[in-house]
Amino acid sequence: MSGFVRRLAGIPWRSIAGEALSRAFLVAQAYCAVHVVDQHLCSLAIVRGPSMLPAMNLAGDVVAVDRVSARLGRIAPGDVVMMISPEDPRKSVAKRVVGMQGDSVTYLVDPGNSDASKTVVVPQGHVWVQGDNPYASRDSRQFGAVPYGLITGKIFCREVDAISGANILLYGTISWDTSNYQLLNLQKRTVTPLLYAGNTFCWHILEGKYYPSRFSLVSRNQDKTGHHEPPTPG
Amino acid sequence: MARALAAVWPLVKGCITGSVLGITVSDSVASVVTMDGASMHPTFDPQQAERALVEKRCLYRYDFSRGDVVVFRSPRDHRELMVKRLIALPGDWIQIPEKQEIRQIPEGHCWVEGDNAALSFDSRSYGPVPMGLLRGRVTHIIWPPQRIGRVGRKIPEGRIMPL
Repeated sequence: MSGFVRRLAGIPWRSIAGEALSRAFLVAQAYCAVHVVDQHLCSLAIVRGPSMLPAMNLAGDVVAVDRVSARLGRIAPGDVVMMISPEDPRKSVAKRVVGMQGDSVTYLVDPGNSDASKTVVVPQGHVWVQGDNPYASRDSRQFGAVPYGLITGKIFCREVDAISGANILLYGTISWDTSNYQLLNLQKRTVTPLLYAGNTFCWHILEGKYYPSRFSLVSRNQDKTGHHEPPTPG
Repeated sequence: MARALAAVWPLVKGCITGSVLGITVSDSVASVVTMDGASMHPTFDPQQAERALVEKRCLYRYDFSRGDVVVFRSPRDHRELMVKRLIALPGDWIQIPEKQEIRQIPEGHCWVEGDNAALSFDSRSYGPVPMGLLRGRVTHIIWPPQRIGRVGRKIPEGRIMPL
């Protein structure tokens, strides 16, 4: 018994504790540095859903989010922004800014069924956001202008991956999934070529060609009337 | 030149480490805010520049309770922080005596009001506030020393019908 106690006393507890503390401090510093860069400088995010077609893929895109511009107030109409959803604070959504405070925005109320449009003036401190795909997007047309404070960053870069299953999934969705097909069916003549242009990699995969990953800049649209020119891919 | 840099470098490294740690703590655990304005009298005294402790742990799951004093970015100006009391949560029905109407708080929004109803520019003027604007909950007053204490919950009677 006393041999065990003597061995216990022989272990250099103090230096072990000191080393453990300095290692833990290093880990804490690394975590804090990552947190500061992610929240205040630049961050990566995954964006999915049909509301920003053809700029963003249906099944997921990795985007780079610039946090500094939003904090400094340098957001202009045409920017794609990442913001906290006004309907659920735990969700983040990506939409395009169409109007800033004081602008008057004209939008189509129900693009699939009628040509009726409405004009609103964006109140002070708010922005008007819309998804690029007006047929499948919940945006300011449903929940009104959003306060600028909900914007968390500006999306400036998107990774376009040739082997992304998103493209294959999208191709399958248009052709074979009847429920989604109905959603896009209404303006098939205009939507299908847009989706084709935005997803050229999909067709090249099916034809057996391979393109390495590359980055595409998310471009800015200046059109304010709710009809957007789709950004050219790549 | 290199020697001056070598002498200053530990100081610079310490400053950078300290500021990164400080920013992380103030974003995720708690921070301090200075009170300004009379809209929360008598909870906060407008004459003295009081400092309050703002707790940030509640932002992880957005678990706020009715009656909390909350800090949020103003819907009129994103650079300004406002401090008001959260009266109603999403789905509640609230009675607004000035306009003699009853409104339901939409999903993802909350209703904030200042304790000093006459001097407060709050949800009665700009409507329900999205909960994504909330930046923390005030739990204690920490300065001046004679005002140190907890800031409690208070719900106005007879105005809210919870979901």
